[in-house]
Amino acid sequence: MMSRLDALKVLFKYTENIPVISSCGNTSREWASLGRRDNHLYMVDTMGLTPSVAIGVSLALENKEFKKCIAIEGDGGVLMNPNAFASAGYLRPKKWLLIVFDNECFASTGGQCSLASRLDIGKVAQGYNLEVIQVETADAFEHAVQTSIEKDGPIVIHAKINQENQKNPFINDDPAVLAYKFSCFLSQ
Amino acid sequence: MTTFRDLACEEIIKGIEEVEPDYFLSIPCSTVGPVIEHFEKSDKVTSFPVSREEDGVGIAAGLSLGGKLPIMLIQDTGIGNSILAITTFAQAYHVPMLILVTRRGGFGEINSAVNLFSEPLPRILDDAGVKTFKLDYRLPLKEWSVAIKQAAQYAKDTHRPIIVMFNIKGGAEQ
Repeated sequence: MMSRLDALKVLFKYTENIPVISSCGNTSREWASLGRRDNHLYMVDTMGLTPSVAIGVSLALENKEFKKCIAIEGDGGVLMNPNAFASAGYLRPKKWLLIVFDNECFASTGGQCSLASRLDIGKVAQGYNLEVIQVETADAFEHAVQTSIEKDGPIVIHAKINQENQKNPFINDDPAVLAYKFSCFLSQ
Repeated sequence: MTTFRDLACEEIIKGIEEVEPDYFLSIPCSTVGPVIEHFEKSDKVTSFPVSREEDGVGIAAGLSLGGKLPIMLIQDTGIGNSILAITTFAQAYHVPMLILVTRRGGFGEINSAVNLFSEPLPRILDDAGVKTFKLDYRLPLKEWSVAIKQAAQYAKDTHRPIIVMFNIKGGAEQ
């Protein structure tokens, strides 16, 4: 099974010009370790909100050139705010692509077991009338990212990953600066 | 007979229209039902419901980051469902949005539990540092639309979420 960092390295290759919003904790820290970009919005708190913010950005960008707005969220975060599934299913934002990294645990807080160990998040998303692509390997993930970017959403990539965690520096930036850079990128 | 509620709803509609928001998000509330129905039919504003206020704050924040102006209309109980998103995302990331909030609790409230949240809510918001303007019968109704318009401008100018909370039940201090 791939690690989250393996998957993030793949995603990094295809998203130089695509807004990407990453969830708090180790996901944003690993994502930032690959290289800071203004098209990245790193969430430093508010676990589970990433898919909702990406819905808003996707709607705002409907008439712009960006192919997608990508949200990265973990299994714990998605189950904390499944309302975003409801909104995406209802609003059908074409540019919304959610990547759920599912390691069936809360890796950032020590690996405690999450509810995803007994639930299939992909099936949950399908229940909200969302297209779901389920992957377990880096090759399948790469193919899913490539194809999803080119077609209309809303789409969920449900990626099973192992429980490996990289130790990277905390993202302790002023959130106002993070948002300003991201907003300037979106306004181009 | 036209009630205080009817007149208040007309003023709220007028205020929102003068702001000219791009999006209107809401969760139903019987006291402002006419406001929600008005914007559901409007062709000037994109209107849609959300299922939980926290999700609504996230969507509104995304719209705002993308250069659009959102207004969200909810009950005050919904602040309880969204205060983390309001503080640690919208406020921390300097994301402007206007949140209109109808008051629960107080005279005329028949619910036997909601007062336990609605009554202390203004103090909770003050302690959280979320700027809130409060409208009730003491402010002439013709000023309500002006307050809503100015609050939206204030949200943009000060780069943060602003709440306008209104008690449209009228009568004595709640």
